[in-house]
Amino acid sequence: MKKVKLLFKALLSLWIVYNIFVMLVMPNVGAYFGRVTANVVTPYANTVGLNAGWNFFSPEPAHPMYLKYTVYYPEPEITPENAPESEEGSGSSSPLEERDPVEGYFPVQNDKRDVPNITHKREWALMRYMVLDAKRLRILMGPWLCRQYPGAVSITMEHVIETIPFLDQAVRFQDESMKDLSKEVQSLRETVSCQGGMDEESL
Amino acid sequence: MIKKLWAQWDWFWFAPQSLLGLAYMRIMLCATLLYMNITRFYNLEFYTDSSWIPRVQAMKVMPELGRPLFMWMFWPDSMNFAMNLVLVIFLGLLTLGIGGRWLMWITWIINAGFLQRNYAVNFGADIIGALFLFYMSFTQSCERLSIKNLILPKTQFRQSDILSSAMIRMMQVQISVIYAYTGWEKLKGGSWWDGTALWSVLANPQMTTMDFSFLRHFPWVIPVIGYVTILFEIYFPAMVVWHRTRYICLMLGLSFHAGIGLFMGLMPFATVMVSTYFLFLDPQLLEKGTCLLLPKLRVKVRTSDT
Repeated sequence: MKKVKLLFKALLSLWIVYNIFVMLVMPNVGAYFGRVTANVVTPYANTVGLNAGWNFFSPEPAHPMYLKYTVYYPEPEITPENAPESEEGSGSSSPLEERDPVEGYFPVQNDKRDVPNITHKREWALMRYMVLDAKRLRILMGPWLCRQYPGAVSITMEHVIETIPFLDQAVRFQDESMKDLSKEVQSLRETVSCQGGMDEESL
Repeated sequence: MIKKLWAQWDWFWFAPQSLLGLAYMRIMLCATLLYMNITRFYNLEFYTDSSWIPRVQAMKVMPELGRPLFMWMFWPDSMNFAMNLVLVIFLGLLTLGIGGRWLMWITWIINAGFLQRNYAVNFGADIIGALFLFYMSFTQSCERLSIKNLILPKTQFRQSDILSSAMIRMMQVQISVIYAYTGWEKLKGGSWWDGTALWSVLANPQMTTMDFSFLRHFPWVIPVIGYVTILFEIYFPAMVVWHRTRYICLMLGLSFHAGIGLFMGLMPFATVMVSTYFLFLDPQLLEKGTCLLLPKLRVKVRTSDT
């Protein structure tokens, strides 16, 4: 029994050393130790959830940001069937009726939905994930927005950052509102077609 | 020499410990995850093909070095409601101290499945909560502060076995590593060095629950809190190891996370982090505190201990 206990402790000790090594290496996996030990470290770390970087609000805290999008609808087509003289009695959804582009924001601005705070945090996390790479906007966000607006032909997405004024500036111009001191910066712009036909792209 | 080293290693990692701190941690961690998973009922569509990430892309959206070997989500998206209900029930039972290692293992797997299904909507509390649930699933976390002990009083409470002791230590090491890394990462940022980083956080209406722009009338507060944050995070491992600074460090952490929870609307993150603090508290102090907080339990504990 004593030998079994000792063997168990020895095996557990090996795991302890390995796990501590993984927890130290994974947050900085791009560094030398991470690169040379990736084969031994990452399969385990990624399976148990040790594959996280602990970089809360760092290296720099994020500025307020959102995804602004514009949904475009097709131009009305004039055919013999829907020409103005045959339009009579065709109802309100005439194909000739032009639909104005729709503007929207993700996450929804001034959200009135009755949802828990965590929903907002998740949507915000998602937006931040999407705007890190234009590909994500084209492959994931764009098609999702197309599904939200049936009939749309294309959607243009812009990553907008509202910069926070430097502390010194905010102190110096105390009479001005934060909104006035803030600047709007557009860092990314992508357009996706909602009608297919685009080359298939992988993440 | 080797014998002496082994004895110290053996004592540090495998010596029996009180399970009361672990039980408090279990209640706080599982209750937080319970709340988060109840709110997931509002967001179940996030984990289906009608959301941003189709199932076939679930692994591909993760960074290449961060992809798991396989998906823990063994159920189809159509069963999300049922699986989340199971998860909520299991977390409820674990909060009450009903269940054990196996139940917590299954709970961790289901929870990990949801996290992997839509990696992009996870935030700090999800990731850290799941990590500690993983470690905790190897422990006797339901030995103390269980509702079962109120109904069927135990004659005596066990101390931790080898595996539980090792995992309690591992969780202590893990939280220390998390804090140290968050501090080191901040040192990479110019605004943290400059002392103004916290201004960008507090003046950001997307991050706060109230308007903090009034702080520009007291600007010196910003760098003071900013530098204290960095010092607290970097030196947490050292401060928590040394008994003279341990309680100062934990009190600092408590106020730091209370601030994050209240003013940044990140209460689940705050409670997940603070739940680990129970592992650093003196067991005798915890026993006394428990008796003061729960006088009814005092009778039970006394009767069962004698």
